[in-house]
This record gives sequence, structure tokens and C-alpha cells, in this order.
Amino acid sequence: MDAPALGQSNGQPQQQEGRYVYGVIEARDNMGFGKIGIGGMGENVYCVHHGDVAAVVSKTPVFIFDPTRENALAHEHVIETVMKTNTIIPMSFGTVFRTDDDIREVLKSIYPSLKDVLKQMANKLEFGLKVTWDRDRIVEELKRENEEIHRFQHELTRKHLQSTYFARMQLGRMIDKALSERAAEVVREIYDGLRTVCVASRDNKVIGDKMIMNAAFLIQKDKETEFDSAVNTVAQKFGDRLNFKYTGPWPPYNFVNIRLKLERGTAS
Amino acid sequence: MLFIDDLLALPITGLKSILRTLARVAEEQYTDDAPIKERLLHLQVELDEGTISEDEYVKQEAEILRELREIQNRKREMAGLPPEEAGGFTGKVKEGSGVELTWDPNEK
Repeated sequence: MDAPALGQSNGQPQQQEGRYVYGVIEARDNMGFGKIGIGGMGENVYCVHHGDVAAVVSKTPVFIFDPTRENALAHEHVIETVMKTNTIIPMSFGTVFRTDDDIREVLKSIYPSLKDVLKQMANKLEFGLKVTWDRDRIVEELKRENEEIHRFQHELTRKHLQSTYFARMQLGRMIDKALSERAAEVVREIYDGLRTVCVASRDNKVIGDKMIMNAAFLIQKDKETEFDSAVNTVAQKFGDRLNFKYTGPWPPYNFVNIRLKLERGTAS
Repeated sequence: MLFIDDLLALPITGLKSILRTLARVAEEQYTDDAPIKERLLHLQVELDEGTISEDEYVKQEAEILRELREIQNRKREMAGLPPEEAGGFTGKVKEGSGVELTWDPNEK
């Protein structure tokens, strides 16, 4: 049926149409991943090949994607789907090229490094581990158990210094120091319980003041169950004093660095 | 508040340097999107923890993204670029492009 007003007719190259790239896989055959493309239009997700590597892409009428939750989830969903069958090197969120040919040109330019990294990443998965604690509860614990803090607070009460600014500052500093020492201890203990089961790990910046660990682990695929139970063992050891948030499998976001210095084409 | 006491106790030169610092911080805030991105991360954690509802998240997310866009446009403006480029990337990659591991496979 003709629907010229919508300007979506097949075969006719759309002036304002780009290619959203999710990542790069090793694949010679033409693979499709379904109508799950980003943008809410159910665009087909397909492959753009250069030899035995391929970019996983879908068409898009816009070139700029805001990192909204909706967009991020759509991006993730495609990656998740691809990961069921392939090892993927994930692209940064929001990478849009002009045409399939542009993508082929990029794949060609960085082909050797792509091949190398795909080989190293084959059968490996990333997992995330965020650990939080109840800060107030730990502070109470420290006030009871940390001798230095306990004594200082006792002194404050005895000498009625509780209300002075400097005394409170000093107590605050002591507690902060003890807190970060305790956190470092705990984090070390968690790493010790997981180190033997993972290939590599990375420590990311914690978010907020309740989080004490924000780590990523690279796992050999056939060690997944082993890693799961190692995480469980460590989590059980701390009981309800710590809260473990264990996520994955992810593509190796933290273990691969894609450096693409690209040029933007001007809007035609 | 405590800070006011502190400021009043400082000699004049100190005060001047604080004003300079404040001006610099304000300017950085004007063009630095890192704190905004951090707010988005915090918001995601809050949603995960159930501290805020999905609706609240969407509302705040829109606000944060609006600010982010504003800052990015401001940065472009200061660099003498047009507000927003609507074109996709070309196939030309510059020197130094490629993929690399961030860990050593030969370790241990």
C-alpha cells in the first residue's frame, strides 16, 4: 500500500536515517536478532559484516539518544539477546552512524584489535556486585566496639563537651576514619572469597554513602555456577549486616575499552 | 550556621580567596556535567532500592536530562559550535582508535 505521507516507503533511502550500533560480534553468517531495536518502533536488529566480524545494528530516524531508562533498557535488551548466542564487544550507549557502509569502514579500520579482543573475551561474562551497609548501624557498632571512639565519646559526655563544635568535629572525623577502615576490611574479605573463581576484577567508584563496594568481575562462562555459590557463601558470612546486589551476566563493559575517535557527518 | 563563624574568623585575604573559589566552583558547575551524571546514577540506585517510585524516577530523570542537555549545549556554545549536531558518525576513524583489554590475560 502507498503511504507517501509517512515517508517510510521501502527501498527509498531516507535522508534522515541512521544506524544505531549495539556492539561487535564474530559472525560470518547473516544473523537477525528480531524486531527489538531501540527507539520504540520495533526496528529489526541485524548484522553489518566485514569479513568474520559484524556490527549489531538497527535503523533509527534520530541521531541523538538521551540516556533515559527506557532507552537504556532497550539497548540492554538487544545486548542480552545477542549474548545468548554470541560474545559481544559492547559499544557505548547512543552510538549512531550514518550508513551501513560507514560501519563497514570502521570495522575494517580496527579489524585486528577487534579480532584480538573478541578472541580474549570468548566465553567470558561480566557480573556486577554492589555491596551496601546500614551506615547508622555500623556507626553504633563502632561506638561500642572501637576503643578509641568509645573512650572519646565517654570523655565528651563526662566533661560536658558534647556540644562544642570542635569536639563533635573530632568525633565525626574519628568515626569517618573508622568507617572507611571497616569498609576496606570488609571489601578485602569479599574479594578474597571471590578472587580464585574469577578471571579479573575491577573496583568502581561507590555511589552514595551506603555503598562500600561497586565491583565488576570477569568470569569464565563454565565457572558461572561456581562464582554464584562463591558470592552466596560470602554474602551468608556477613548475614544481614551487608546487602549484596549481584547482577549479570553483562557484556564486558568494564574489561574492554573501545576507543573510537569518530567524525560526525553534518545533517544533510 | 557554623560556616558563617568560620568565615567571619578569617582574615580578609582568606575571604577573598574563598570568593574566588566560589566563583570558580560556580563556573565549573555551569559547564561540568559530571555531577549531573552522578545524580542520575544516584537516582537509579534509589529506584533499585525502592526508595522512590517508578513515576518519581521518570519525573526526576526528565529533569536531570534536561539539565544535562543544557550544559552540553552551553559547552558547545563556549567552544563556538552549533547547539546540537544532528548527523550520525561517518566511517572515518582517527589515529589511535581501536579496542583493547583493560586487564592482563597473562596475569596469575
